[in-house]
Amino acid sequence: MGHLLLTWRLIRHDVRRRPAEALVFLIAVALAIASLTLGLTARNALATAYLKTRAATAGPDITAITTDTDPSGLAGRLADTPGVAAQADPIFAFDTTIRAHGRAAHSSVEGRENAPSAVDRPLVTSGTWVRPGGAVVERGFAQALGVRVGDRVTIGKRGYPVVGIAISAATPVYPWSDWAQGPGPSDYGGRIWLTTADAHAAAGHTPGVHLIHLKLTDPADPHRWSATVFTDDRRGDSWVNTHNWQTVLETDAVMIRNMQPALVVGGWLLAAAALVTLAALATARNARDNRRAALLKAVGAGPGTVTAVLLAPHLLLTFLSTALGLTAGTLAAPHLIDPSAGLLDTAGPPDSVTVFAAVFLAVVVAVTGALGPAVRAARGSTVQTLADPAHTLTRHPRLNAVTAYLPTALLLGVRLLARRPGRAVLAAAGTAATTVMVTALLTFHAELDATPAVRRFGPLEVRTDQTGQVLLAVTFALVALSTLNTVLLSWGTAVQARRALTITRTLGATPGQIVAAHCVTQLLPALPGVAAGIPVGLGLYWFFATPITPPGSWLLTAALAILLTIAVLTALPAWVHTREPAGRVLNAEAA
Amino acid sequence: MKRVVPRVTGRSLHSDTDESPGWGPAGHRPAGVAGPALRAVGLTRVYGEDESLVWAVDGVDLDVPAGQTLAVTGPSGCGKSTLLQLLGGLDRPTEGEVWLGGRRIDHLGERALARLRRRSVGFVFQAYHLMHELSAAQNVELPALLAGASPRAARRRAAELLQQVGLAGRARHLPSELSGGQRQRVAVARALANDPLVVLADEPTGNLDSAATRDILRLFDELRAAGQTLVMVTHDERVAATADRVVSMRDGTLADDTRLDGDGRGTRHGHGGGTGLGALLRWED
Amino acid sequence: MQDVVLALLSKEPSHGYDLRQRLVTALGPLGETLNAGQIYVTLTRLEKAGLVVQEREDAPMRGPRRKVYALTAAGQERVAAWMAESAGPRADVAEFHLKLVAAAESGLADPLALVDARRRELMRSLAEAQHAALAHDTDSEAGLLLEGIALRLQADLRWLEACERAWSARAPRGEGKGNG
Repeated sequence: MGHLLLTWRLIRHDVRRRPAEALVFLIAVALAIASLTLGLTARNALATAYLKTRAATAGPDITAITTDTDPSGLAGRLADTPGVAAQADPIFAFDTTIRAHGRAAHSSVEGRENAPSAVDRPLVTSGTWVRPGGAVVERGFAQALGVRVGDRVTIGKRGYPVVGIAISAATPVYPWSDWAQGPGPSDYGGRIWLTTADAHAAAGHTPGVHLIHLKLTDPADPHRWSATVFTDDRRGDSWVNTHNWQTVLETDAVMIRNMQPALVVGGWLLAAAALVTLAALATARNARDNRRAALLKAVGAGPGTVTAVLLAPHLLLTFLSTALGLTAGTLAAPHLIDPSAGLLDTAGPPDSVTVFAAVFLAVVVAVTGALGPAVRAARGSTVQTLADPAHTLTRHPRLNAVTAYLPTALLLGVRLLARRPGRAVLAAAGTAATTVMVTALLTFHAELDATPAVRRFGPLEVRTDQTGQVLLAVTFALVALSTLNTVLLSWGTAVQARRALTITRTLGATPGQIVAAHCVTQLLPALPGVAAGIPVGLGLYWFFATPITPPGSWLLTAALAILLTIAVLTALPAWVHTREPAGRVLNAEAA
Repeated sequence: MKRVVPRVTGRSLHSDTDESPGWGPAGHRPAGVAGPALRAVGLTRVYGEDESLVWAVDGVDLDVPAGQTLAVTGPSGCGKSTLLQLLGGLDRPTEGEVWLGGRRIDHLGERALARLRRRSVGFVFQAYHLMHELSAAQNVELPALLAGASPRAARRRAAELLQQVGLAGRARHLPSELSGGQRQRVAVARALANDPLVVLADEPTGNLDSAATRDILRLFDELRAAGQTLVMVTHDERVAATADRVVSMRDGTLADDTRLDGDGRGTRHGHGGGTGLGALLRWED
Repeated sequence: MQDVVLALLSKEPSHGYDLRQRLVTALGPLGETLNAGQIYVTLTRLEKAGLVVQEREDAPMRGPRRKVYALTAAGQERVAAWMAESAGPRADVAEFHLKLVAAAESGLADPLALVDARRRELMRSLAEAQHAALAHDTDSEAGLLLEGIALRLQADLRWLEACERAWSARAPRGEGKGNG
């Protein structure tokens, strides 16, 4: 009970005294977890959305498509085929190019009756269902076209008012919903519904197809049904093709194929950046924690209690941010996963794998950031911790001998760096994470630029846009976190090196030299970070997507921009430091 | 009620110098330095704002002739450390002038001050302020390297100075491996690295035991003999007594100025009891 | 003792009992051994030397009659000379203390000026002792003696600091610009 009270008091004190520190911790970890959750739940969320839409629209288990102008024969044979649980009337559909708002797009135009069909009953999300002279546009397609109820679409030579927007699980989402293209390779396209009469009128002499949506008695394995039961003798002479619901789901998943690695890899990179943030925060905490540990021990707390008390705030914050990240990721998933709007939005609870991964990541972060110092503080002797919270210093005689030949700023910088190798590693890791993401983003844009104009135009944009947005969002989050890290690290360095630099100032180092020395301490580790980040970023992109290399000038500019940002962020606190007369700083040190 | 001390005006503080023209640039300092090595005119340093203004240093006039060792004494908080920092260009005065080697420095920017410290000022602090991560020799080398000396020259100078302070055998030791007295001797060697015009020492023996204090005082004595201008701040009368001249500070102003060296003796309150240790020994009558 | 009594009389004529009271206050427990007889002996000697003169006899309501003494011109001169002269290397704490008390009481000298002068004196002695001490090994006989002398001088100097604080608090003067 006592421990709990004590821990609670310390946490309350920490949060109240340093809300920014707690907030930064919370945001850093939550960001990483949210990104990971998004990546991991993407697939799951998509499946859920599809299944939900399928249930809501009586989606077919399998659809038979025939080019036969009279589908009644096929329909009759299907009715006799075992394993068919329900069968909709054949639907006439043809492939055409429609126009809306001056844009042209491929689409299948389906002729539907007013009465609800046995299988595939599109769910009208706004407006009404088809009526003579009025068209209903599939929601994802409508969104891509920018069409709303009341707008007009031109099919063939005639314009139709859009009377409704609907969704359906019978075909994949836009841009894969055009199933009226008949034999041969299919193009991207959308889906529009008219009345059957209007459809036939609009088609004119254009050959069309007939779609027959089926429900099977064994919906789990439609593939086997089409292979073993729905054999050639039942298909007849005309071209008949089948699409089962798993294919639809697979096609839908293509949408997120490029996005998912961006999110998962981004999640881990964000986690790495968050780790750097926590470590940078930990340095600020260390002195306080050490002192706290010593005081606790002085009043008789054992190492276990001390560790627990020191870790508890960390764990609580980690727990909070994990919950926050999971929730945010889960809630954001449906919006990110289905921006084509072809499916019902769903926010399912995250599956166990996701939760496990998130918790694992959080634990890694918390333990690396906090356990070490806490255990060290708990183990060290009381007098020692009370007296000297400073770290033991390693000697680098050779390094110092070599640096004697360097210009002063470099000399100071290298010696400062040698003082805190851990910081150098942190700075390098943080920079590497950012560079990886920036490289991936650049590569993505390079690929976009390299894509032939034909393919860039039209539906492909939907996919690339989404991936681009995700990449951009993750990169942005990483850059924000890295900026924060650089500020924290350089501020930490400025604080820790204060004494050494002030001494150097009394010996006659100019403010310029001091600022330069600070920059060296951050830039030197950042250099390998950038150097490693670029190939790793390329490698990851190549692994998940296309092996393409952005122009060298892009990469060089990005690398220089990153280094410049770091230099500026580092120079600022150092510059502030040198504003103060050296004497005052020394006085403060002595106090 | 603020303490009011017998008013010693700036003029009278300079009077010692005026009365004994034997002092000053004729000493052993580099030629070309006209006038005192250090001069403060109406030096004032105010901290804080509005209500909580603190006059750490309040209108101090002081001349330190080249080659003189001066001790500034006074209770803690009297402003003596601030005075030293102002004299060494570590802090800038609110008002007044500081002249170092005939050059006015109180209006200089941080960069110019840094260059000046590098060449003309050597600091010794109570807490040594050595760089933990550098060996004794490297600490001593640092000012020379900062001043642009070649690594070889800096190393040679450091070896020479460590020899001089009796630590030649400890050149490769880290400060943490040295005793307090040894650390302070390294600090003195570092202060001398660029052959400064003045050495400023802030409570140089404040952290030392009596044996280590003797070492430092002997070292200062050698510097004095070599004509080094030295200003030290101390609250220890025995340390102050080794200087040529002692000024006491009270509440930011100079309260008293006493010459302890041969030249100054007898110009003030001479007493009938005679001078020299003999007078002390006559206690044993 | 003679000098102290003379100085106390310089402010205003007084009688032996009063003088004793004043000394006992200044000396505290150290003054307990001081009896009235000693004061009268001193006064008699001073009178013989022509430094004081019996001015009148007071007859209080109760108790014995009291002889009131005043300084002569020679006495005045003697006091002034005492105030001006330095305490010398042998002066002990109580003696200098009484001089400060007498100086303040009589207004003949500024106690703070006396403290300053004394400090310079002691500082010079300490300087010599320190220089000699630095030149000698602490373990040598001479070094040991010098160490003792230096420590005593240091102690005296520290006491002077206390004197300065106390007297400046007790006798604020309006001179100077008000700070210092």
